[in-house]
Amino acid sequence: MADETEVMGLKRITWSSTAKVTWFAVSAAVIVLVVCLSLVIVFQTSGASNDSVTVLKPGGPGGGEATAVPKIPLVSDADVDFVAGMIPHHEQALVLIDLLTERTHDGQTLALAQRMRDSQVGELEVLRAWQESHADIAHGHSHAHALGMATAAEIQELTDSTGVDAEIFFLELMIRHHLGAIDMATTRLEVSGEWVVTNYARNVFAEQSVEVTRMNELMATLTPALSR
Amino acid sequence: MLRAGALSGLALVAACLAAIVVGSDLPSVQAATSEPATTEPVTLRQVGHGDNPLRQGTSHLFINSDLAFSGDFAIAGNHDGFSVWDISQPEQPALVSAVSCAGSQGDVSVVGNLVVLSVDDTMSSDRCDAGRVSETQQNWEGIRIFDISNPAQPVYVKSVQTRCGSHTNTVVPTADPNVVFVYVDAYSRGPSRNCVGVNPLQIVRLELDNPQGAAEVAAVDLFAGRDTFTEDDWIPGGAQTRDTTGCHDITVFENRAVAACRGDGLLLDITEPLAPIVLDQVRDPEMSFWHSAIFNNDGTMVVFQDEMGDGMINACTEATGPTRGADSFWKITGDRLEHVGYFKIPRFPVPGERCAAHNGSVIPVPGRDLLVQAWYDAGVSVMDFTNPAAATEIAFVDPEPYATPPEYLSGYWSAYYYNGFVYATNTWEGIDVFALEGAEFADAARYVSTSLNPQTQPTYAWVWNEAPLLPEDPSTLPTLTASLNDTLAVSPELLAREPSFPVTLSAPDGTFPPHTRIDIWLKNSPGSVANAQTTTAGGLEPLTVDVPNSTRAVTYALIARGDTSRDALAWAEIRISPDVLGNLFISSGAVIGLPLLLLGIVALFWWRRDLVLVWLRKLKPWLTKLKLWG
Repeated sequence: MADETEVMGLKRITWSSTAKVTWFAVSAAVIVLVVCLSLVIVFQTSGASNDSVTVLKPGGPGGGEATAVPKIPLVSDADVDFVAGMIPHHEQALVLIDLLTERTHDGQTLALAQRMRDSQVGELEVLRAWQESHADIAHGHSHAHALGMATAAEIQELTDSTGVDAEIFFLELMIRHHLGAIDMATTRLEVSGEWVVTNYARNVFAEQSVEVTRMNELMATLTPALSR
Repeated sequence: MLRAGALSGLALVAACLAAIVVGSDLPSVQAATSEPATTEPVTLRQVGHGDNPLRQGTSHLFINSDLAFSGDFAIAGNHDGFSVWDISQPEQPALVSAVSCAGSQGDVSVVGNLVVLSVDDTMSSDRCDAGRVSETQQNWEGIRIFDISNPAQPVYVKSVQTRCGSHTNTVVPTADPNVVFVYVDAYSRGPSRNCVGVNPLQIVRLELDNPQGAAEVAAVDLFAGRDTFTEDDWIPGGAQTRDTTGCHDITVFENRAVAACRGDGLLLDITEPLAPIVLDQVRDPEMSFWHSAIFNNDGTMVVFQDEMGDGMINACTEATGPTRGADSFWKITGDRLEHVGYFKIPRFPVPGERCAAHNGSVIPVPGRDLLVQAWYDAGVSVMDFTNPAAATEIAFVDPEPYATPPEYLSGYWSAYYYNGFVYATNTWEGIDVFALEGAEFADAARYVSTSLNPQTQPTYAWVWNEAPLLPEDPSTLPTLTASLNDTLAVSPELLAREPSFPVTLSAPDGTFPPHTRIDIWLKNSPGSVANAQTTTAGGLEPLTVDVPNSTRAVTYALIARGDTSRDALAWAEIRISPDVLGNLFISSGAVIGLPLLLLGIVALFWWRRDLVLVWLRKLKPWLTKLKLWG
């Protein structure tokens, strides 16, 4: 690459063209690397870094520091039970709705049932995801009670009925089913537990309470004799 | 060798770019453009991000909620308090402080130096270190007030307990700049010790210089003498609308307000803020949950959001359709609301994602109605509802779905337009800043707000598009220093020949608000003639403006006006007094010059007749030759 020659006691270095190119490439690479590293540093420091700010923990109004670490409601047995009970509960509601859908083709009962399906499908997805992410706690500890469930015989009876009979029997089963869910939600809301499950329970409570009233109203229109 | 060197160089450059991209640490967001046939494409592009400083792993008790703005600061509410961000450089939101104060959901307003934070969560006490307790136990919920005079050190100054807590809060200004009313919205939602039945609107009076004196001063039942929505009001096939057990949110605009109350929508007259009057009450079989509302720019239309499923499910599915879990448009005619259309984002999030219409704000564009809005996991959407019967999405961002979806509300909670950018709270991740790119946003980007609580809607006025009015006696205004360009000042010929002449204007520090766009107007002319940015000290650096020329003496008034206020006016007078003789010759040469020339010749003839005759005699041969003589 480089040749050394000695002229009058001084070393003279001549560079071959290959060597020049090599040195050029190497120094270019070094320059690129340095520029690159400094840019990376600049970009990283200009990104939002929260490191220099410490989270303030005030106490009460008027000053003072926090004296306690706020208790984070932990997952309670009631949470595990509520979710574990509500999953099969929703699953059965969907079975009942499907049975009704196959047995009646229009009318207010079907319209209501389809709206129930829309919300319960979404909720079921959420409940299953919660159970999955709490599999370690949920497993084996559950004393789940799915209240107001239809028995196998009742499901068979719904399967065997048609038309208005199917609608009336569906409403009968679903009203009881909903009242069961409201009981389950109330049980959960009266004790503490993970906040997100509190919200699931509030949701079930609000949604199914109004649906029960609506179903009672439909029942009255379908069974005039009973409403008298 | 050369090739190897070049290749390694290229590889390094690529690695470098990759490192920069990775190093900038922006979450991956899919940006997209929807192109309506008639308008230029618009893009919403993420330019900044700040991590949620309160987040603790996968716990849902530390997620962000709403946003409010004050000057160069954004305040992000959180289920565990709030955080203050310096947004003077929107691309780099810088965390100024984070306050941990347990209590959901942290709906937030900022007024003066005070932050008002909503707690709709039954706590063991009003303290920040309180724990969450069951709603059937003894509990505290309501609003917390913090002083952020020093944004780096917020101080918790006052709490006000309210019956059902505070799901949201809305600031209502009064004629006294030191006093605001805070409308506290909450509703009952299950077994509870304090909160059952229909919850009235609680109103808290807050003095900005005395937050310790804040107290509830009124509780107004907006449904007194009216039916609240109950299951009896369901329409066959309609949505499973929630019972009206109180209001979820109220948005005010001038002396009007709209309330979204689960099963009902209300139009209110709030001329007397402590005694709001219900002007109209509306229902919609498609609405599951009247959640929030936004007025358009001129207050002639309202957009209500339907938070179907409380944000816990995906309400943007084929089965749900285009009218449920959507935006619902209502035209205001006098004191009535009239339904005129729906909008739903034209996308279906993947399973596991959540979606419903959520918080947004108008984008102030003159003559058009544009909205930016958060849709949880479905991202941030920009929508044009100028024609509410055919509202269309014009831009959106939709973040990549989580590999494992969080177990509670995820994605964007609020998305608001503030001073040229869209700021959005991402529940788990932090705050995101987006640039809205498109020619139609020039006026919106120019509008400078000094603060914004999106539920207290400002009256946007694009003052720079209207001619400024000089007061009767303009001598009270600050003056601009005006000077003519040197060369033109001494050349009346040129002055008369040019269609305009440049004038250099300047103003000392303190004339205008700092860093403000100002327009220069020529009195009685349509449209501004120039614009500039004032200095950090509020001065105007020399600016050259073209002023139309005139052949007669005229006085021009040059007016400079800042964007933010009609009061930021300054002016200068320019008198044009052209050189009479010079002007006469140049501008009127054809009419006056020729007779003058003839007159001169005649005068010469009379004065030196002998010489003239000699000249003529000398010319005779030539003239004869040309057959002009003899």
